[in-house]
Amino acid sequence: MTQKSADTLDALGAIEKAVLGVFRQAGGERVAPDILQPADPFLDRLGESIRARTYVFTDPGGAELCLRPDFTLPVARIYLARNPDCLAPRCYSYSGPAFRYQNKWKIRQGHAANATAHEAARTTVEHPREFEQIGIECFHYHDFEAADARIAGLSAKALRQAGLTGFTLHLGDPGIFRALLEQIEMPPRWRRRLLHKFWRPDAFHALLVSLGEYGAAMRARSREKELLEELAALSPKAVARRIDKTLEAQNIPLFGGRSVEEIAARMLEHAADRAAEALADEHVRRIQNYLQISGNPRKCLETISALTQGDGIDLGAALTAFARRLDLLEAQGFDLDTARFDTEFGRQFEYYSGFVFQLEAPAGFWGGPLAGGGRYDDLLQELGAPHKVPAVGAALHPERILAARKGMGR
Amino acid sequence: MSEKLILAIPSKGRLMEKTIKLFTQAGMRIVKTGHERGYRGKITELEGVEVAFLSASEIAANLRRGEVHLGVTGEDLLRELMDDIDNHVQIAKRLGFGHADVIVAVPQAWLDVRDMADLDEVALAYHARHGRRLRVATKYINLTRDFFASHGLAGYRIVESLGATEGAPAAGSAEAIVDITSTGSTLAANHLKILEDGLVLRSEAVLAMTRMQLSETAKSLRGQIVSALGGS
Repeated sequence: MTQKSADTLDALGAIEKAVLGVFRQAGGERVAPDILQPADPFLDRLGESIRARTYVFTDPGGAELCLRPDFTLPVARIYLARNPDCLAPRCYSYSGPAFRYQNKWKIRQGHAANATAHEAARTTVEHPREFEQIGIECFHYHDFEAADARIAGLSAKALRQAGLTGFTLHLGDPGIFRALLEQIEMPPRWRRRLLHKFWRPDAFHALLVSLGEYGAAMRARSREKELLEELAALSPKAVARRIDKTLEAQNIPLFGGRSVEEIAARMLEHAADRAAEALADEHVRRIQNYLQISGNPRKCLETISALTQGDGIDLGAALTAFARRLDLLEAQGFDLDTARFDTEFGRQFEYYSGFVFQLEAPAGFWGGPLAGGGRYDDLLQELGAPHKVPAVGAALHPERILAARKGMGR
Repeated sequence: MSEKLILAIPSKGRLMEKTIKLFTQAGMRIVKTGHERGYRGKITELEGVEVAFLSASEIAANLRRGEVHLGVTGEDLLRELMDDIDNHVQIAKRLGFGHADVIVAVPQAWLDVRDMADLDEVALAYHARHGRRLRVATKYINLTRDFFASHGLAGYRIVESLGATEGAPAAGSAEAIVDITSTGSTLAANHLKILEDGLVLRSEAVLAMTRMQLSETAKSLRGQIVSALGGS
C-alpha cells in the first residue's frame, strides 16, 4: 500500500464526514464492526471461493479469523445480535477499512484478453488490498422498491456531498431472473440447479445446454442404466433397501455424512430425469436471450415483457415492481436516460437477491464503480434469523471518489 | 550475491535415489560432504555447486524465495505453494519419475456420485439438509480451490489435513478429499473412489529454477547442469 500524503488524508477525512453525514441524517445509526472477524460466517455463507480473496488465518488460540473483506455480513450480524427477533426496522451506517487479497497475476491474465497494457498497469490502483468503505445497511423495511430507490438515492446524495456530479446509474435485478425460472415449466431439481449455477456463468451455460438435451444426454451418460430403470419403479424405501443390500454385498461401509435415504432420494431423482423431456428449445433460447438484455432501463423493461409473452409465462409481479422502482428512482432525481440496466449485472455477488446498482464515474474518467449495493433478503435467515428479513444496503469507495474527483479536475 | 550455485535435492526416499541416479547418469556424481547423515553435499565433477538435501516441500518454498537456485521437487508442491508460479519459478525439465495424481475422491458408498457435477449437487443438498457445508479434507488448499472453482463448485469447506488425509471421511472429519495417489490402493482400502473428472493435477518430479537474479558464475553453473540433464 502506498503511503497517503497529509493532503490526501485530509481530503479522505472530509469525504468520510460528508458521506456519513448523509447516512446518519437518514437514520443510519453508527456502528463499528470488528476488523478481525470470525472466518466461519464468511466461509459458510460465501463458500471457499471467498478464501481466495480474503486474508484468513489462525490465531494462536486456534480460532480461524479473517480481516473483514466487506461490511455487509458483519453489519447484518450486528442487527441480528441487537434484534434477535428481527422485527424492528433499523438502518446502520459505518466507515472503515476492508481487505481483499488481489492476485495480481490473475488480474493481469483477466485483463490481457480485453484491456490495453495501459489498463493492465493500473491494476494495483484499481485493486488495492486495503481500502476504505463507507456504507449504510437497512433491515426490515417492507416497501421493497421504495427502500431500493431510497438507498440508491442516498448513495447519489452522498456522492454529491463528497463533491462529485455527472456519475451514472447502472442497475440490475437477479430477482427477475429467479421469477422467470419459476415460471418456466421444468422439474424443480433443474430449477434449483440453474439458480445455484446462476452465479457462475460458464457452469450455468453448460448446465443450460445439457438440460436442453437432457433425457437423451442422461440416457447416454448413464452407466447404471438397468439399475436406474429398475429403481424408477420402486418406492424410496425400497430403493434405500436396495442400496443397503448393495453396500453390504460389496462390503462398503457407509460414511460421509449422508444416509442411505439421502442417496436413495438422489438416485430416484436421477431415474426420474432419465424419463424427463428435455427443456424445450424455446425456453433455453428464452433464458439465453434474457441474459443478453442490456441498455436503457425502460426499453429493457419492454424487451423483457415481450420476451416473456406467451407460453403461459407471467412475470407480472416482478415487472410491475421493476417499473415502480424505476419511477421511484426518477423521483429520487436519477436521469434514467443516462442509466443502464443489465440482466447479467449482480451475477458476481452471490448474496444479492434482487435490486443491485452501481454509481459509475462518467466515461473518460477513472472507470471503477464509486458506489454500489443491493438487496439481500436471504442473508439474515442464513445467518440464523428466525424468518426472512428484507435487507438492502450500499457502500461508497472514498479512495475512488477522490481519484475520480482529481480526474475531473476538482 | 552468492558466487556458489545452490542445488537442492530431496533428502530421502525414492525421490532422492532417483535424483542422484539421474545426475550420476548425466556425469555428475553427488556426494555428501562432512558427516554421512549430514545435509550438505557437492558434485564431484563441478566446482562451485553446493548441494542441499531438503524435504521436497522445503525445496519448493526455497525456490520461490530464491534461496535455492535449482532444485528437484514435485510439481504438485510447486503449484500448491504459488498460484502465480510462473512469476517465481521456471520448470526446466519434467523428470519422468515421482508420478502421482492429485485427485478428488468421495466415499464408495455414494453410489449416486460419479463426477464433479454430482458432487456440486450433493454439496448443495447437503447444505440444505444439514445446515453446514460439505467438508473436503486436503493439504492442497490452493489447488483444491482453483479446481473446484473451475468446475463452478463453491458450496463446500476445506478442512486442512496434514497427514492420513484418506482416513478423514471414515473418521468423520470430512466428507470428501483431495489428495495424491500413485496407485489408488490406499483409496480403495479406505473405501473411497475417484471422481471421473476428478483429476486435479498429473504431477511428477521436476527440475525447477528460481526466477530470482543469480550471479554470473552461478548462472553459468546452472546452465551446465540443466543442459547436461537435457532441460531448457
